[in-house]
Amino acid sequence: MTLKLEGGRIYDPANGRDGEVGDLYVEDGRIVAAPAGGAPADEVIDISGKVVMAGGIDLHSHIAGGKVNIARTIMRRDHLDSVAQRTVLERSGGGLVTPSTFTAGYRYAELGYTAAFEPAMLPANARQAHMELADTPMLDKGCYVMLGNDDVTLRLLAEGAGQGRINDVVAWTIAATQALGVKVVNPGGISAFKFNGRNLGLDEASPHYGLTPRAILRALTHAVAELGVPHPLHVHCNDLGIPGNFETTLGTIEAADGRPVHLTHLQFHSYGTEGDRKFSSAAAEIAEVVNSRPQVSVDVGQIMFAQTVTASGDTMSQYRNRGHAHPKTWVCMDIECDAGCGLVPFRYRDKAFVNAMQWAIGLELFLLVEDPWRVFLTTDHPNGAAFLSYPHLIRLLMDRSFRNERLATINKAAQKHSRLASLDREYTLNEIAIVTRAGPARILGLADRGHLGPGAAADIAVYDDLEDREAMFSVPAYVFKDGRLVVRDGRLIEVVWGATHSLRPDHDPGIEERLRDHFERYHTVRLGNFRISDAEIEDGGQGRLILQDCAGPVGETDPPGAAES
Amino acid sequence: MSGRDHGGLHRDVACPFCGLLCDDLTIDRSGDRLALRGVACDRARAGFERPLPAATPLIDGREASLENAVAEAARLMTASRLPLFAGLGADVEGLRGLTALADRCGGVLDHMHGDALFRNLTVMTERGWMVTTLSEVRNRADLVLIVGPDPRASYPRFFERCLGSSETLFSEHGLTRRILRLGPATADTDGEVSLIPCDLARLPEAIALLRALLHDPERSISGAEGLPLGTLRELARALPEASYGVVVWAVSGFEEPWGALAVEGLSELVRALNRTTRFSGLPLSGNDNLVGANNVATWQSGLPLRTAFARGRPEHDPLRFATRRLLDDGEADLLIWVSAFQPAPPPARPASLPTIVLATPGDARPEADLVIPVGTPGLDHAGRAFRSDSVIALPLSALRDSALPSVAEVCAALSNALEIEAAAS
Repeated sequence: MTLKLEGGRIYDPANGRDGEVGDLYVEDGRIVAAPAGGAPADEVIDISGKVVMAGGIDLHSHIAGGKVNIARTIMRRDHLDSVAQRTVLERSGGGLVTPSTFTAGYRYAELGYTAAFEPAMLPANARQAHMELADTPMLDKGCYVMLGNDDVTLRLLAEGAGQGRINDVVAWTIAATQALGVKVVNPGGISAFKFNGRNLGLDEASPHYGLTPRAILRALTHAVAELGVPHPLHVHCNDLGIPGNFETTLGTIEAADGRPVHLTHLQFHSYGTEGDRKFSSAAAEIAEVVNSRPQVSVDVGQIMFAQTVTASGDTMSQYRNRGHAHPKTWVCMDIECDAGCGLVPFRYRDKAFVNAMQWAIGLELFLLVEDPWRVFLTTDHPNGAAFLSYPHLIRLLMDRSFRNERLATINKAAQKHSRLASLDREYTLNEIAIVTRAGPARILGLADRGHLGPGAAADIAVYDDLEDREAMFSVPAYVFKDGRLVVRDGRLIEVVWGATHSLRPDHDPGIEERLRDHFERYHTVRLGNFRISDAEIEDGGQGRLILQDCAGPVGETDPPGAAES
Repeated sequence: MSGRDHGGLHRDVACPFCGLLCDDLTIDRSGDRLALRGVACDRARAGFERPLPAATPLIDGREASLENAVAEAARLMTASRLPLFAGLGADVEGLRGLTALADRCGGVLDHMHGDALFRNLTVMTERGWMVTTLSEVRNRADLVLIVGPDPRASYPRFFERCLGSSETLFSEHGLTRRILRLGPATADTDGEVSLIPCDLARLPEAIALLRALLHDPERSISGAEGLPLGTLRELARALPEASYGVVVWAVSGFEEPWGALAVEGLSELVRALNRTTRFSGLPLSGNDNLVGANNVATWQSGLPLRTAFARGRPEHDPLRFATRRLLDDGEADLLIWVSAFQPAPPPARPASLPTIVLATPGDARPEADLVIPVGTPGLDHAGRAFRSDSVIALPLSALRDSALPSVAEVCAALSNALEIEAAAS
């Protein structure tokens, strides 16, 4: 059966379409070319005057795994205050900041999103992350596996193992944990905290191993590039939240040695030390370097003024920030000679100087990074804000007068210290389509997602073209997932299950015997039980596994549209 | 998952019979009989080697087909205003099914070890904590303070797997560990462990004393009669000297009213020690996949166990929705008792309370209106379960061919039967 979406204004930047009026055809869950000879479609939906884009893709959202479940537990208030009622379609649940798995899927879909990626999967906790994602409907999903604080990699590096051996460990871990990418969090710092290290600078030797974060970054960016993992190493830099940390961030870019690197929640890593409060925006310095390095991509991690919880693998930073906990319930965990996790509830307040600066710094980054293909719209959900705030964030980016009105309400000193008022840029719909769909798909190597060309998965969002962009992006007129109409006028009308994207990078199979020995000597789990089978992802039919090619990064220097030509 | 390539031998089998989930077992299968080979504990041996009596579903004590039993269960669930899903000894797959049924039928979820769970969870939810996992303890802990009864009673291989002197990651010749236990003397107290004798009920006092002494080990103390003050002073001097200290407690050995208070004291002790060195807590719990039950409830509903769906949305209250209270006060009008790892009987309850039992067959027939025998995950069918530290979930293997359905399969059948009931009404 063929479905025709007729007369929409198509924003499909990957295929160079910028609001032209046209028709889209859908068959068997895919976008297809117009039928030959003008054969009529079986079903026609008139979307004339409406804006049509590919389904949204969130490339960094903490929605599954052990630390998210701990966050749900300590965010009891979030679940008592915003319960979701069971309906004929929907399971009950709730939570705005740390939603239950079902609620997360439903609410993402109702914003026009069709994919979200869990960015901090611990190898040891990978099974739980996948089980939670299996219970998250509506979305395609995938995970970045955390390495660079695990004692396998650190030990090999300290012993001077060659890059080939590191590549094998990274490749084996990706396959064994069913990951789509690799993340490093505070390189070396989580491990250092277990040895009572409280800070670890980029060129400081870590306790026990004597490794610098720079050396760890070099090895992991090499591994990801040489294995052909499409997504560049996803880096949560050292020194998160510390005034002056922008120098660490710039040093991290240098440490990648010209290889692709993705800096995540950049807002938390763009702080200077100027002014009488010794806390300032370094967004301009950071953006200047990002603009000049086509191999660097970033997501922002915008904050919003509300109660949330910070959930991170970065125990060193989370322990350091425990005094800011609001409410005062915080959790830190050392985990399996693998990594850690820390949960610190937080209330960002618009009248607090530092929080107001954080809000402005995030927006400055969005407006100062010139190439929309290399900056992605995130709030580091829930660390900066809940994903539910995306429509508000889109309006802040698209509507300068709205932005300046908001700016006028925040802490006065922060207004004075920020250059935000001087930034005139307003995002276009085409740019919004890039930072929320086309860009994330490309940086993750998802060739048939994030665009509306023939062959793409029919993940489609249709919005009314309202002047109030927040209202527009809050209530999509139609959302299709794999060709099925799942949301109408912002309300869920069908529950579907998405796929899990993963990789199988080539590696020396001999690495498994070495790792097996390591597991049996030091760990409390056997290697065979650590590995997650394909059947576990398929999970009795509710899940589906899609293996992406390991063909390296896609088109980071290509002009828009090149990937499809 | 275990391989079947060694004749009847299955290697690297995970054991679902306590929260440690040891996964280094070798099981020899002959027909339906399973035998442990090599390293194992008595608990694992009892679990794997228990002969499985033949069993069929029973309706009012009479043998019935699975289909009829499921239809009868669906009828009881449809008629119920507040079904209590208790026991919850099941794998993750079964727990997902049970949570979905509770959501659908407006039921309550609680686990047979719910009291123990909330001794820990209350502290984590109200105060937060710093905790660690088994492999970290094994490789790093140079000082281990166990508080309460000897955990080996419930977790037999805890010392061997986590505190043994085998090679560790950061010391080639084995870590020199100091192991102490603050708690009552037991028969199996041995030379490995220095005992600091303390009655269970006085643990909160001893812990509070220790926290006070951390600031000044020499300070003068009054009112500590009967507590080992001198040893606690020495301990307060020793704890900050550890490189990576671990405080271990097994909440199953704690009791009300002092249990949660003791956990809070231990958690605060750990946090205080982290100002200058590294310390972590290791709460041991999780038999009958307690941790899995709580994790599934939390990710599916946003709230932990002891959550009710009676009003079409999750409502949580650890006292109001406790199994014992709901049965004693007659609020639940149907009990669905699930115990797939051991043939645990349903708890004492009013004789008039309709009861459905989904359990692995034992020697005694459960007293219930409806009995549906189910397989044990990790023996009769594959599944997944969580370890005590909550980070690790492991696959459980099917070791023998079993005619018994899994809890997940029964839940799926029940869900279908409920559709039919709903369509008919």
